[in-house]
Amino acid sequence: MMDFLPHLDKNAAYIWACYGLGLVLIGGAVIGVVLKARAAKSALERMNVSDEDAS
Amino acid sequence: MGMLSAFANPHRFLALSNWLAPLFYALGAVLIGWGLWQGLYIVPKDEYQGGDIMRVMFIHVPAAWLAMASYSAMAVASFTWFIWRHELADIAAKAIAPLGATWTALCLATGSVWGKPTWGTWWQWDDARMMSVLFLLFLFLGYMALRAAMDSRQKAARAGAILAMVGGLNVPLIKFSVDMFTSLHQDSSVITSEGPKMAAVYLWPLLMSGLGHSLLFGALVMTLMRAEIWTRRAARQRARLLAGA
Amino acid sequence: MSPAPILSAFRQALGEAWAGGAGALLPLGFFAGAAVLVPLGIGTEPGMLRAVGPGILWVSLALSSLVTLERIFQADVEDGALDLWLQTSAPVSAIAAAKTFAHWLTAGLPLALMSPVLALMFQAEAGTDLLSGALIYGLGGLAFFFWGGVGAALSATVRRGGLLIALIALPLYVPTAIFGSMAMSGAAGGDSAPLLLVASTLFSLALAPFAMAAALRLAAD
Repeated sequence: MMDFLPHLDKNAAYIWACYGLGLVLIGGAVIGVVLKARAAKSALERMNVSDEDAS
Repeated sequence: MGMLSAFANPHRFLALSNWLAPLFYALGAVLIGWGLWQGLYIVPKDEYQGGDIMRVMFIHVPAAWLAMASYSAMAVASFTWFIWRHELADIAAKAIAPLGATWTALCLATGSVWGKPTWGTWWQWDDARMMSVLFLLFLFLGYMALRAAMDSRQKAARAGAILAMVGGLNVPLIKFSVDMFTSLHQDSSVITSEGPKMAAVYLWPLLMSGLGHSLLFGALVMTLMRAEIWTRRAARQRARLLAGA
Repeated sequence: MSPAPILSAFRQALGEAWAGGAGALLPLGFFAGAAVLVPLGIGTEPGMLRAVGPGILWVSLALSSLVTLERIFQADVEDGALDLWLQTSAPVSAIAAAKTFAHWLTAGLPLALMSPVLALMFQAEAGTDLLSGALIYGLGGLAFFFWGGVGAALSATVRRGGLLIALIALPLYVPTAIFGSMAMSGAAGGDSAPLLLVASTLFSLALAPFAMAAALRLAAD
């Protein structure tokens, strides 16, 4: 079923663990950073809108 | 110089990073993907290096490279801020810290997993590089904790810059002392005084992975810097509103 | 520039150490207490204690430098002494160095002098090695106190900054701990370790005062 995966020798579990760690840590960093940027931008935009309402 | 001045001006930085960050994300993903495909499917396994386990190199070595490079970049940004007080330099240093800590942790974690089948242990105290990277992680964590403990943005910037500069000056000494602490470690095998000696079949995927991780790292730093600029603008706006009301 | 503020800071730091009434007894007690806990934890087999003894003393020395450094600059920020120093003509780096040195005299040097006694308890052979060991602990402690001083100055305005000092200072302690223990064990290839220990201590003496000065100016704002 998983034929598309490369055939690795006896240390396959260790290799997948390393790439899994990479996926989790880097993926987590990307998601966290993008969410943070979006939150910061929308906070600024809300601020600008309320600024226009006030003036 | 045009490029550099763009990095000194938040407005121009926002305009530049608006297209540069997506480009870096895309190029980084392509290069990392290519390196993974080469590393996992194409390159032959090296029985001398323990068989297939050396395929971990294509994530471990870029992480090690970024751990060192990101701390240097943070120290340089801190120095730039300390001397010229360019706000963007501080924003850059602040953005690099958590990301540098992430790649440093990745380097340690993959090194540990690689170590189990190779050395028979999850943690090899005699490996100078792992010890150096561990202390690098502590330096990152101390930097972040110090910034977080300061009660104003300006103080966080100053304290962080002092610590990053002290840390940066200490890194060579730490590395040297750890190298002395142990002699049971492989020498850096990509760049030696006689030039690269690693087989070209591994070298290219490795270099491309390293470049890909660096581009992705750069893109993430730019995104975090953009977030910080927006946050600071919102804070200024809030202060203005409060003052006007 | 006059040296008077430097001397007064030095004397004040010495005075502070004795003001609590305990003087050097407090850090000594902590140092000995931390070291003595170890055999209770790992057992009393003489060969093992002989092997780990010097390392335990290094760890205890590092810990007691951290514990005693927490308040070294905080009090000066709170009582306004820091603002006075900044107005004098003496360089802040010299004042900070004098204070840290005084602190080492009261809390670091006694530990080094005490180290032969603890080493004997850890089954070391009596001999001149104990004296050279005390010298090495003294030198290493000096570097510990100066790097720890940087952490203390940086977190001078942080309430409960003790843990922060530890996190900041521990990576900076690494070279001293390594060169120091290599110099003591006389390990293979360790012939140059005493010189390297001296060099890294000098490095801390040269660099740390400026970092402390920059951090103290920040704390005064």
